[in-house]
Amino acid sequence: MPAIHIPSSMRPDTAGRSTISAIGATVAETFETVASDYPGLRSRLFNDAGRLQAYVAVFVNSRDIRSLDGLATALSENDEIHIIGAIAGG
Amino acid sequence: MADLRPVSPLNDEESERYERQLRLHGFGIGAQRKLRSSTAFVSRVGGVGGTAAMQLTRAGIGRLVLAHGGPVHREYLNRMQLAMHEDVGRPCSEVVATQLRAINPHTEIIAVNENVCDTNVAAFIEQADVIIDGAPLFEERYLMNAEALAQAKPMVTGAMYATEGYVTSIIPGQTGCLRCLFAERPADWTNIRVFPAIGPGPAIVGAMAAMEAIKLLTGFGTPLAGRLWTFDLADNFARVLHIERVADCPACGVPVAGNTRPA
Repeated sequence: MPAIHIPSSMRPDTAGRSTISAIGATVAETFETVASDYPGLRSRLFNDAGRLQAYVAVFVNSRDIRSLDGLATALSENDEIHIIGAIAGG
Repeated sequence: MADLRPVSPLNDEESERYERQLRLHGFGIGAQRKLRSSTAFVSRVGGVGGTAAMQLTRAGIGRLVLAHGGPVHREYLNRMQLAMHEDVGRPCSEVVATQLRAINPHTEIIAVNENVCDTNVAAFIEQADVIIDGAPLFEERYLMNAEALAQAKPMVTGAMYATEGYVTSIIPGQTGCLRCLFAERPADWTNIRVFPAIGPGPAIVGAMAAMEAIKLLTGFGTPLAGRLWTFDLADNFARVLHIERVADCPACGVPVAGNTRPA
């Protein structure tokens, strides 16, 4: 299953886990699985219109999914997904 | 702006002070002179910006313009490298400027007891060859991003949260900008107390930001242009992620119908 790296700001919703695995043929399917397993993540990832929040960037194998097929980007067994949330700490 | 006057050679004291970095392959006296002729603007001088300012001063940048409004609070002391116990209550900009002048008298330090806002951002950026964004509020970061784009100045943005951090170099016309990466701030990031922090995280971000500025100013090495260097000290995670320009970015893109955020 693809591995998903969770940023610190979202770990309260994954029981503190920094990496989780989820089944899905695409990023969207995988995120749907994740949101079912960890319901608190849904609103952190998606807005009310079902689009990615504007303060979240998603990368598959280090590539921004906006340069791939967005949430429809296909995934393979060993793919790495990185969720990067906007932060501004100094 | 870069000083266009003829660049004098390094004197003996400078040659000795910078001897170790002058030995870096690809750096040398040419890069050192470029650095000495350059100005960086640093927004906020806390854990990230203060560390960046310190590293640039030690490296021998010619001039630093620092913007930070307000005093040192006791809770800053866990991450603000240049603030001491007795500095609580003193203006952050003044505290850091005093320390930087002590570190390297060759660097001109201009400290302003103000945070970036819409009435001062243009003047700050006009003075600089590179901008270091270490502000704890997105409103300040977005203002600098917009103004850096308008003035075609490179900006290094560095940020942290808990044990995580990231750094990237934004080069107008070449790379995505801060709004390309994050078009909006998180709804709950409303003040400077929202982020947890422990010293090594912001220190690493600040040091990386300084190195990025050095690379951009001197041509040394390869800057993180179009790439986001991200880490988490809690589990030793680190990656370089490729970031993209967004065609209809509200800051640097060409407006088109719809939105490029993935549906």
